[in-house]
Amino acid sequence: MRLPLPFPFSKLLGPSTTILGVLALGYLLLTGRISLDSISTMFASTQSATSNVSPPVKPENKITIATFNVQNFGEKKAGDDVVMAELARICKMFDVIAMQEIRSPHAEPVQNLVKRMNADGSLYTFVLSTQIGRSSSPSHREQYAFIFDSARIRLSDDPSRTYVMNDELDRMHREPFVASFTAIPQGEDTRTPFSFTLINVHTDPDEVTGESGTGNELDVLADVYVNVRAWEYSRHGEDDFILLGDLNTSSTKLFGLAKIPGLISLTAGQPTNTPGSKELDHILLDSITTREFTEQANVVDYSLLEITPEMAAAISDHRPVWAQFSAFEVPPYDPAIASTGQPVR
Amino acid sequence: MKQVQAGNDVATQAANLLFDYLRVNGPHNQSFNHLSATPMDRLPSPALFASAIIADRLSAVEFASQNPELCRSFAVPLAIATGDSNSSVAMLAAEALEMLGAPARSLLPELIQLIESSRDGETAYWAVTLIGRLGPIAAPATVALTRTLSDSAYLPVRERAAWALARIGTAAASAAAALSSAADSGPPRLSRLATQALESVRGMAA
Repeated sequence: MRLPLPFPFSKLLGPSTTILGVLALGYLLLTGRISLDSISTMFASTQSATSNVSPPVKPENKITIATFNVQNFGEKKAGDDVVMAELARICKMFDVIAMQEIRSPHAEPVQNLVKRMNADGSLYTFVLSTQIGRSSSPSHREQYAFIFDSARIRLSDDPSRTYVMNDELDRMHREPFVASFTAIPQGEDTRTPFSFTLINVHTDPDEVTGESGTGNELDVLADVYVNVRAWEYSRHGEDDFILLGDLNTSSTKLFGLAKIPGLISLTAGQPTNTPGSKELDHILLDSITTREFTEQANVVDYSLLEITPEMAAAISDHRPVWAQFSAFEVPPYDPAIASTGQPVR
Repeated sequence: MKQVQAGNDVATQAANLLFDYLRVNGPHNQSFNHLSATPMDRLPSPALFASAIIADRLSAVEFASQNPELCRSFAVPLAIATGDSNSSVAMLAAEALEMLGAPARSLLPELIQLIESSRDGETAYWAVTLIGRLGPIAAPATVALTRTLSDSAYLPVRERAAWALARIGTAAASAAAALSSAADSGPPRLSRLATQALESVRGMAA
């Protein structure tokens, strides 16, 4: 589905959101629905010194979002049992995977992957974009997908919130795919579950290197981010936006995206291609607003999953990038609260 | 950031397990660096790209898609392979070309020849793209790019030609009239790219 590009009024969003967040925090504290202790727990580090490859246990109160360019994911790769088994094993580590470079006119490659992921009774499902790209040849166009664990994540049931960005002026080779999700609380917790909008993108490497103002896709993406944020916030009150995908650029060359206040790349400086030589993939968010980020983010090391270099190359020329979030809403950052522990009256 | 008391939070322990599992060694992880030193003797023979046997062509482009930076010298056969009748060969060739960066400068005459012989389709699109990646040193391609900009029946090729001329810059000043025409009457994206290219060839780029 394509929606018209909404008008840009979101420059006011940051302060408005902060004010709303302060009011919301005050309300939650006063009504006893949240305590400062629980907030500190949510922000706590989960680092550990040990390392193992035991099956992952997904924490109840945190979710993991990943981006993964599964290089040239079509019928050929989907027909390779060994590669597909490894892909399923990797993807199952995450609650939501924003996937790029699905090159098939059909849904089968992703369907097959999700079927494998669910072989143990898991409840992953997916939403797929239309085929996107300028090529006259359908086989050169790409689809995006969001694969998510429906036991832990719910896709918005409003179909108008899942869309490919409208691009009447053809400013991007592959227009971003947008979808909104909410974490599903596990257990008895009554806190507000974390809701967020993901903007999944795969840039054209030839269109991220020019100067600003010359059609650089990273400048266009800055517009996309600001406009999606304004659109979703005005209609649905959403304040958490995560732009993720293969940007074909390093965190030092984000052009217009770098000018959005608070926007950071969570794994800045880390190579994300399989040989470990280039930083291409990113998870970007507004660090002022999206306080649900737990400070845990990284790039998957295939070797720690006991995947050989040859198998890694067969899986993709990219590695997944992931970030962890609280499964519950956290109010936006406010310096006054941070310094005193109490809201300013 | 507050510290968590070890063992007092089951969910945090579970998170530790998950992230131990996912953790990498950090930005200086060298685990896969040997991949970038793939022995040159694994490079496919150039003849393999033009083999009559699909499996041969497939293996050649598959290697290139997995090792694009090693395959810059194969830019021309890869561009030709993007027009392959086998869609897997065509896709993998495009995949390799997308990531291999600028081709060897010595390939410029062959790339010009490619767009002179066919200005339409994927092969022309990639030949123009590779020329554009060379930047100002691709000035000898200006005439061929100008003709492609004006004559190609394939809009993405015309757009890429405008983009490539912009990358060449002032050395492509002779393309100004064709760019001006495309800027005035082309479809929106072509018009925008041609306008930007016009500024570039006139030395007025941002």
